[in-house]
Amino acid sequence: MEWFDALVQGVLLGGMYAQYALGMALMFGVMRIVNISHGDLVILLSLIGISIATAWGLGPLPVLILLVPLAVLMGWVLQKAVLNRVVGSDPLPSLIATFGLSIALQNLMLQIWSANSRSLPGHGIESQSIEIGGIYIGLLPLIVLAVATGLTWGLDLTLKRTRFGRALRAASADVEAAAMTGINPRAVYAMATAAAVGILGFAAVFQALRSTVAPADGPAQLIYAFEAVIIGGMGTVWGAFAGSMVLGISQAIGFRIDPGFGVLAGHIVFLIVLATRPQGLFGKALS
Amino acid sequence: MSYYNRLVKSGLRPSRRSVLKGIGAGLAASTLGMPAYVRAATAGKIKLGYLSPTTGPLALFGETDGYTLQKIRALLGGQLQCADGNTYEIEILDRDSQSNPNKASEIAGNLILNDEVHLLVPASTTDTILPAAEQAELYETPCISSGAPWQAVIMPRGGGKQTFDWTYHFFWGLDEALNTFVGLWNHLETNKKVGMLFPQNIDGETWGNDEYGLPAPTRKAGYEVVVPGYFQPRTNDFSAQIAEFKKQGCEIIGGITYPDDLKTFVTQCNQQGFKPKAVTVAAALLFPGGVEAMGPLGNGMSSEVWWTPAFPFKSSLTGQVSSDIASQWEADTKRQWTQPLGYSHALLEVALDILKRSSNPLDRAANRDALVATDLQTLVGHIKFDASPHKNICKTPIFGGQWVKGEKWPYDLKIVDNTVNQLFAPQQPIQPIAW
Repeated sequence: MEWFDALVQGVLLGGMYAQYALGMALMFGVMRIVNISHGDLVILLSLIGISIATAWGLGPLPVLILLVPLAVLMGWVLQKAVLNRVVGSDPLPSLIATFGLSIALQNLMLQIWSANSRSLPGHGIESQSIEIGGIYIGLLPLIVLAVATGLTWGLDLTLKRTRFGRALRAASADVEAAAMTGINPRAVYAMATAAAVGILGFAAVFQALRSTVAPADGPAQLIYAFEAVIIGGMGTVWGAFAGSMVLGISQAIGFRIDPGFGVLAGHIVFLIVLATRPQGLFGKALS
Repeated sequence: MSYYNRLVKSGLRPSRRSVLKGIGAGLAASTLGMPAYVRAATAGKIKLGYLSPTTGPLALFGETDGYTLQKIRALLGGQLQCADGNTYEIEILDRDSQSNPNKASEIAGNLILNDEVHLLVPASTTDTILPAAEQAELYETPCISSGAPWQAVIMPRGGGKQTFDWTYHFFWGLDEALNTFVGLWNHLETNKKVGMLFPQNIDGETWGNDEYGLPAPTRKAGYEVVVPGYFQPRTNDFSAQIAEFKKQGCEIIGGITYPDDLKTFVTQCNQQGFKPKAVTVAAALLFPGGVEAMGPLGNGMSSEVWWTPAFPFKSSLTGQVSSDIASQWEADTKRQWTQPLGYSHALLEVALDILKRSSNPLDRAANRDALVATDLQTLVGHIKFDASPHKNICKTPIFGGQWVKGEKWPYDLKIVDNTVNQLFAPQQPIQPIAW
């Protein structure tokens, strides 16, 4: 029973990691852009969301509706203004550019919002739960999981079925060949980053509801997003989702063994996957 | 050994120090022979080195320091009337430690050696005070500090076995903070089972230590302690600890956490149907911002209290009582008062009092003697170094407090326990958390 509870809580935790990992799957897994400022963008969006909520007295849902389009716009500007200048076969320039961006964002946020921890008022939603046979399932984590599943499904279909998805896959496979067929890789990349950061808009609202955010918090969750993408396999969206679940469940079971061991348990599973199946659970082995 | 103090020992009058630098300059040479009253309107310039974390992760602590300094500067108008009958020019050199111990050490060294300050005043947080105090002791400069549990400032320097000549500190101690927690819980009717939360870092290991941490006085007071193991800061899931606390039937939660972990924890407590009567943690509940971040769950959380506007003592500088200082801060900054405010004020009270009483404020040794002889009623309590518990320490009062729904601000901190210091009565009794 105790272990089944751990499994349930692990799946719920995985839902939260999936929201972080989806944007990463698109940027890192498909476009091969290492975005170090991934976590800082979440915090920036959270803080903007909290300010919107306080200024206009809005609940979580209206904040989400306002924040996601803003996030999409931010992602588009980010790719157009910064990342398109450094993207290429060499991953190093994008890594350095986003590393700098990460530091700049943290200091900017410190200037605007100070070092205070803040959270988004959830009007009770964060404290509700459903009890099934002695196991409590929090309503908020359940919503997080449902939203993550929906986003994964939508993103996967977009990549597989739409013209934009095909163009993006083509551009990331071979930029020059894609350009010869009439695709504008930079425009496609800008839209992809807009989608990736848009997903972070969801993650931002839920993060501010379940915990607190402060300007220096960004990098802490970054590692989980990377791990989930690598466990699942580069380039597959459902892979990133599965990777998040593996990570969440490993951590939850680790926490039951010892509260200090949970995070490490996640890292160990990640290392085992990397050692035994470097292409990830759903990735295709490189020929 | 500082170059300045070598000068003192070689028999040169310290007041001539500035003149030494200017030897060769005609003006300086001509003033040498003149009597003091002809040279200038003031008897010299006192330099006070002030060090505080105004940027970086500890900036919340330094916030009240900068504000208070600005107020005191305006009050002084650049001059200080001292007990020796002279009026001195006073320059306060304020520096930012950037929340970084290495930076604090470098800046303190600079203030002592290059700026040649007569008194060093590191304010707020161990990361600022400890390195500055080490520099002050090394270069024989008087140093008065406050704003960190005294053990943290004394013990890492081998203070358990020795005393120091130049560095003095006033604050409460870790042991008293722990007793405050137990005092708070004693007022509540519970089954005497305490679940504890400690992060895997220096704070967590100190607070969670079985011999001198929170479990020790708690067990001594007849409570049963449940520690499910240390958690990593910024853990995203506390359901394992909550399951353990539920299984053991804990009715109280104690420990030390930061706001993000506490919010994650209490949100999950609510989801998991675990509703302890008291949540008493250090660090996370120090600033009103952290309590507001808890949302409605902030109501009823308890913590240790350094200072609140309810302290009845008067400022020796301005004559204001604590509530005046707090309302002035709220009027000026449009934000709620924070606990370090009282200590920021008291530290400057003591520093200026030392200089006023010094037989020669331009001499480091004289200032040190005045520092040792301090006997002053400040905003945070009586400051006197009477060798208990340590030669270089003066203990200040600490109370137990609870955050309750406020009138002007979302939450107000009320003093609900005075077990450790009976200086004044609690404002109201502690209430169990209404989940």
